[in-house]
Amino acid sequence: MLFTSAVFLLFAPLMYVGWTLARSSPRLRLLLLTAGSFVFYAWGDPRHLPVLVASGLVDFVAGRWMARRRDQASLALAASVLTNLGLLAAFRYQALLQETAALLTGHSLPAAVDPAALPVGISFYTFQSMSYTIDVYRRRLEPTEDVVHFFAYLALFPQLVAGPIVRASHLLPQLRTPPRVTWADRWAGLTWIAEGYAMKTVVADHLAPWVERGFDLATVPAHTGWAWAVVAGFGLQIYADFHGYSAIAIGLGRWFGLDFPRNFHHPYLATSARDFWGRWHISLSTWFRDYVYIPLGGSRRGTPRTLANLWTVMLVSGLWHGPSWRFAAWGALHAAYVSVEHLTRWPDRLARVPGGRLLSGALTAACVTYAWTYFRAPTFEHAWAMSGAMLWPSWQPVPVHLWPQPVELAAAGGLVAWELTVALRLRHRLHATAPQLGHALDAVTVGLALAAAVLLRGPGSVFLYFQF
Amino acid sequence: MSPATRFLLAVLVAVAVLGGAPWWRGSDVPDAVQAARFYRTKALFRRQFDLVVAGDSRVARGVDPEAMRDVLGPIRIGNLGFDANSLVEPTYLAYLPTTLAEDAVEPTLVLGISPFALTPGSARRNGWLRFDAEARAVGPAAWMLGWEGLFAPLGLVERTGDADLQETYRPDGYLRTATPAHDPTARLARYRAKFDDNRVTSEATAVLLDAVQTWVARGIRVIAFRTEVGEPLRALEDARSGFDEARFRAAFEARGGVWRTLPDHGMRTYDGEHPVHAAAVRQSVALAEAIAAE
Repeated sequence: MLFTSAVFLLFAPLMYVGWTLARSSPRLRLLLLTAGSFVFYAWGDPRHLPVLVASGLVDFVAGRWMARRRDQASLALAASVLTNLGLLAAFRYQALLQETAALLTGHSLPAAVDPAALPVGISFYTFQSMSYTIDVYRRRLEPTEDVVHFFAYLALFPQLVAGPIVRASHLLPQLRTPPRVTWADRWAGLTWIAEGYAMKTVVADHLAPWVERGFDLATVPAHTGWAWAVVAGFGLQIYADFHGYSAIAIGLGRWFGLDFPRNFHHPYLATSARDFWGRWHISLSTWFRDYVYIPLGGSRRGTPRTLANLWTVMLVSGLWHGPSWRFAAWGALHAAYVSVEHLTRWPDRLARVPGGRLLSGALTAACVTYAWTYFRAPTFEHAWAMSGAMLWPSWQPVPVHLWPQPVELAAAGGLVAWELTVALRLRHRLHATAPQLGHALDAVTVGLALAAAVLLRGPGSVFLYFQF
Repeated sequence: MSPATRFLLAVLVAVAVLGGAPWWRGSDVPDAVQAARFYRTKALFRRQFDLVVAGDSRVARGVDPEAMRDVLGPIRIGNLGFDANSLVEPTYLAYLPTTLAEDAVEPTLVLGISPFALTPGSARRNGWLRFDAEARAVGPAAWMLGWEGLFAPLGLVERTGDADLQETYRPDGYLRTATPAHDPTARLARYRAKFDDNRVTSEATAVLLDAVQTWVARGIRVIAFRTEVGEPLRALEDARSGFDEARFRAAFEARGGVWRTLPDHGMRTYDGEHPVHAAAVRQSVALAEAIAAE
């Protein structure tokens, strides 16, 4: 079920009313949340639900197993991790195997699993599920004894299919005894939801045709400005799209009295690649930090080991996004950016120069934008052609229709302007000097954002991160 | 200001703007606006069909998705025909696959081939380019055209023109035409001029054939047929357009497309080119049967 579908606009209020009415019975609330989340997930294609349930049951049993037999905890953890990674490999990474075989031999392999059978959001819920068993194994979390409680966590509908990836240690206690929802929660939830829908339907959906035109071409025009415009358009589109989904999820969570972690923090205001990864898809990058980077030794074992760990995490993170070496290339580029920063400390040095932070921000944005080429291009050949046009100044004529249209520029400009108000702290300044006016302006802005999400919606596309 | 007050104020602002939208633009929708909305909306379809039929006005007026569904079953079919359209214009070709639903079991593009749509001249100036540009420029404003526009991609009322030509715009993109007039030579003079210095070329058709190859590689089934017209116009096109059907068909099939020749029904047109609704239904059923046989 899509957040932007009509059926969701019926489903969400029904869930909210049911949740509110069941306030006196925590057990009933968990049952309602679990059943509703299963309906949400199975809507449109119920074939995917058994995979979610099977994956969850293995992790629930593994948690119970560890609680009863600590001496066999490693075995239980291995069963959980192998099951989750096995599901990911079976459903997602056969395409990588096929691509590799085609690259090496020139022959394609037959698909063992129908690609259309890929369960939506499998990368999100398997990682969420693994965080449960790993935390139980590390004794940082008491395993739940209630399977309904566990599935209310794993299948929680607002963040089930596209995150944020919420840790079990963060969410399970909240689900057991959710705090009373106040008007402050409802207001905060509404602001997140309004921002999310506006980002998705007004910005991302208007930018989608611009990006599709640019990346759907058989021959890429060799025009540096055009190539940067197309890839920058995608950088803004994926931010508005994914941040939009996360914001709606966080807002819905607040209405149910649940606190989800923030997933994006104005990533294009980052002044270094390291800073970018502290702002982009935060729930995934912290997952990799805590469950991969730090166990590998993090930055405690010297520079060569630190760089090796960085590259491992970035490459795995790239492949998490898709079963193609293009995503690995995207991860490798970010690994290279962070490695250079680690060795040279150039952002810190540049920050000491007047205007240096602005310059390092611009350089970071350019590097991040360039890397998106490999993320979005349909093939390596296309990525190389686009990359060549970006890096080698060339100005071949580009047909007028391939340039961004006014409405697309307006969508991009609106997002950039919004980010600038954050960078310049305009809202903070207004609230500091005239709090009542600031509050009123907030309310009007939220109301206009909600109306814009209906009236000004673009041609549309599915949420990009659903494919991950 | 308390959170509850802010919440209420935000909801009031949203309701006021949404509620006021229809009044800002007025309530009556003139025929010209209906026509513009029809074609702009056809340029804004996104990922919603299992099967899409593309082409020019012969497709727009001659392929009825409802009639095709009688043969093919309850699948989602869209008609993307535009007046004076081109099948060798890159942005139109790029647009077509984006209208296929991601969950389409067997995504299919059907191309209604007419010789003019394969000429370089059609690529430079055609109905698609005009309405695509308008849709992008006024897309947001288009949503303001009425309540129905707020919640559905297309919510058109039936437009009845003058007594000679009644057109009904359908949300699936089909333009149903009814008229008592019947002049099989009405379009001949225009078509004689259309092919002056503007014949079908291999360079132009290569644009379409490359796209076909790309679509097939992406798992899309691509089918083509030649749109039916009155016999005098067909003879004129064969003589003056430079279109060699056998040669085009061979090249099309070599790129992975499937060619279908529809049975000759003696198409009843009102102007020698465009079918009335009954003839469109016959052509649509024949097309669907040819697709089902594939």
